[in-house]
Amino acid sequence: MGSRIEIKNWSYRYPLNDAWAVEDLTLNVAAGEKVLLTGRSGWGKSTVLQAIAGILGSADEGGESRGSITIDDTPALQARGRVGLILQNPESQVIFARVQDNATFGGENLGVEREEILTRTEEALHTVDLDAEHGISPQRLAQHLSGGQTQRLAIASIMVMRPDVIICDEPTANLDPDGVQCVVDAIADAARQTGATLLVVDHNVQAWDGIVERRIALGEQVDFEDYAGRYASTRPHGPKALEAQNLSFGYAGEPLSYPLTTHFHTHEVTAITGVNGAGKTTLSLTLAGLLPALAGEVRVSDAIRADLPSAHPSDWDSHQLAERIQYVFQNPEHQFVTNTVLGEMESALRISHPELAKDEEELAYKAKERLAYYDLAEQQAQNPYSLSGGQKRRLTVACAIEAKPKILLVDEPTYGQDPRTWLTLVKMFAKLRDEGTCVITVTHDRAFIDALGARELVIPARTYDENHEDKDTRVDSPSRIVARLNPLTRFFTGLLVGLPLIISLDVVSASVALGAILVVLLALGFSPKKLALYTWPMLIGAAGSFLTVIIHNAQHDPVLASATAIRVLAMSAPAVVLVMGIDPTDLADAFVQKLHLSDRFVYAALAGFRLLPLLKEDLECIHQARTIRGLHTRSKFRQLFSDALSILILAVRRSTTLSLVMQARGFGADVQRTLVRISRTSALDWFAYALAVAIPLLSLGVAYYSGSMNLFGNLI
Amino acid sequence: MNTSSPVTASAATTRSLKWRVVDITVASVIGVASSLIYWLAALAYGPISVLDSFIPGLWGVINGLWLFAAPLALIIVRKPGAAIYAEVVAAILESLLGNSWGGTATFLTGLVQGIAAEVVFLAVAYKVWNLWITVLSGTVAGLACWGYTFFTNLQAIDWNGPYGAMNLITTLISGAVFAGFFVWWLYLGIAQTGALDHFESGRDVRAKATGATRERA
Repeated sequence: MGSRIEIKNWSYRYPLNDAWAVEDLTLNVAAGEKVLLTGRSGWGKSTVLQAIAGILGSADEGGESRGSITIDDTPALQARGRVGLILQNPESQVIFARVQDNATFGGENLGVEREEILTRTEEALHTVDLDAEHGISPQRLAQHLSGGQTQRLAIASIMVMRPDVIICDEPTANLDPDGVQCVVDAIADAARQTGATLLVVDHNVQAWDGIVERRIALGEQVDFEDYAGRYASTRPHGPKALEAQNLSFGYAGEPLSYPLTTHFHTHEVTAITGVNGAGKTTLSLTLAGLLPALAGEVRVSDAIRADLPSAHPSDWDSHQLAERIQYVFQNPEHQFVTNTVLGEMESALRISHPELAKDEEELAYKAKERLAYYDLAEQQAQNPYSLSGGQKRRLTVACAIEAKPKILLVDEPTYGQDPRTWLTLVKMFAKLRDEGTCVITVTHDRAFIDALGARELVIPARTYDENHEDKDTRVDSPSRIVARLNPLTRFFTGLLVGLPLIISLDVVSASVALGAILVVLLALGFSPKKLALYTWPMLIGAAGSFLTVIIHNAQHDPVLASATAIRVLAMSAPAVVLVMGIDPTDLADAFVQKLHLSDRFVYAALAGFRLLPLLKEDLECIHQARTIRGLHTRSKFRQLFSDALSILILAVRRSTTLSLVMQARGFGADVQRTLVRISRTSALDWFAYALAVAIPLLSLGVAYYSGSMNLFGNLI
Repeated sequence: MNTSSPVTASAATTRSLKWRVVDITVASVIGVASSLIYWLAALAYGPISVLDSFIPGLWGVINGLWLFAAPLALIIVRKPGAAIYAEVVAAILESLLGNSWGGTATFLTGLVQGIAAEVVFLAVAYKVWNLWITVLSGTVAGLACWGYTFFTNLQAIDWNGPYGAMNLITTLISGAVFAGFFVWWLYLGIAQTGALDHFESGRDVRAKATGATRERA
């Protein structure tokens, strides 16, 4: 049932900040009431919502709070798990690989009974339309869901927790118009079914009509619709700057939409719109020459091309590109290349003012002047990552503009911005357009398009047999027998079978072991081709160790060298072949249930694994950003160092968000977790262990009786 | 509940060694990001790796690059076991993805190197957090890395002969440089962005920076 939320004179200040993020807020929401908070930004909404969810304000965070927030008279910090939190960014709320595992997670953390969790999960997935009826299996990989579907998955997982309060932080801001209504309906259904108190922060007021009972205005109230047409161009567009001819765009040879033919002009803003997943960002990267076209071509006008041999941006080098085309990424943190705000601006001015490159003093002077123009002078010595969200956006757009490109592409510039930054951006783009730049922006923001009177280019999603289920079928192992083993068995038998071989360095034991291992693997159903595919890097490693020993062994002994190489293979081949295809979730379950390792550590690691593909995407964006900023000609090792730093910064950011999301689902509480998935072992597992011990014992035995035992080689 | 709960730097000195959820996720994701960086390093290093067998010590020079996850996670999170945890997470991820060092064996290597990096901080009871202890930790991890290789794959070569000695020296230096100095540089770089404000380690760096700016002003 719903609970009462009482916020009394509450203030919060983040560590190292002089200013309060929220000051003296008082707000009461009755049990079961449904309330919409409007006001775009500027009153610390995310801070308040996190505090209500009980995931902000504990002592060791170093922040400072005053006043109180209670849920039915219990301090919010102690009511964690009773409040379900839905965030703006759908992707950040996916914790595990599969739909079902995300849905059950909150219930497991709260220690709800297993059967009950399964019943609730089925109901919840049905309520949010993520069930078989809608063609979605519980085993579907969450990464194959659309933005709106992912957001609905977050709602389902909150429902399974049966919260007393559901709070939503701009849950529709990231979605295309089609996705918005489904998500709003799903939240309304969730609140109705659970009877929970509902508190939504959103600026899309119309969407919540008929659902909320009360509206409260907080912070700055701006009606963006008032700006429609106010910054539209007063003249017709200029000549053609960029054209797409039958352009097909996508990743890994797979086109995302239909081939596109269109022109982009100077003195014109074009807004690329379309549903999530139609490939708008991919298209913009392709237009900028940062991704190769799958088919067709991207050409710039002769005026922009000037003396370059090619009119295709993807053929240009980093410097030629940066002078002509600038690109602003959706996440500003992908864009930074220096460690001060001033450095960012200097880097941009080096592109537009090559004559200043040698005069550091003049460059700094000019950079400071430009920063002042964009109201960033005070921040010039700061680290760009430490700026506020609005300042980061302004800085990245400002740097792109100051590089004086002929064509500017911007991905979702107004996403998550407060009204002041929004208006500043509108003015910046209007001015740029009026000066003759060809501006292309990817956006969902209707008010932004209307304010600039932009030309709209709608990218249709490609309709194809949406058969993700094929990709989702699990491939545990090419061997049916191995696939039936507990993942822990696979993990440790691969290790066990090789480890005892360390005792003796001789050709006999190594060869017997390798032979036996090959026979067993073939009998298990691994084809020779598969084995070769899995183990070829080890063949190289074995050859390398042969060479090393024959060169550096005191006697250059070929027998010892051969023994080393064969043993390297015998030790590594099973360890690789058996683990290939293990599902990380199954392995984590086995670690917790069979080895009794701490579930907090194991599942946090599992959630971390899911970030790997996202970090790879981050890395790709970072490289593209360097290219577009004219910096892509550096030594490999310097590149490695700066990549490492950038990736780690983004990794820490992502993991901090991950910890919020996991805690909002009750993770880390002192409750005995329920285990929905059960890790099983059978007689087959014990047989596998026996075999894994028998093979090295047999090999060492043969070596012993044939007199070729060689204890630890030259080690002792 | 109408109380104020200010937490100042002085109150934070009686800090807890108990892991918070954010400590766990950050340490785990440092492990995950490290395995991505190891992979990048392998790309950068790939072209010269063929020379390993011929030039003694070359292999050692680069070895430290594969050791940085453990000390980095520990100096950021400052909780006992962080080095081992991050390194093991990285190793398990690598073994599941498949690499050229032999599947599950990576797990053992990771465990050994994580323990080595951890031991140094354990010896000072997790009370000292500075550049030199980090460099020492990286060096000891280098020692473990060298020892592990000679104990398993290179038994045929005298560990105390010229090749072994050359590799020992270069691996120690490499551990000190990459898992020590480089790690400290990464830590400062990350902390300056404000990404570590949830951590005492991050606030230490930022408080110093703002203090210095104020003094100048």
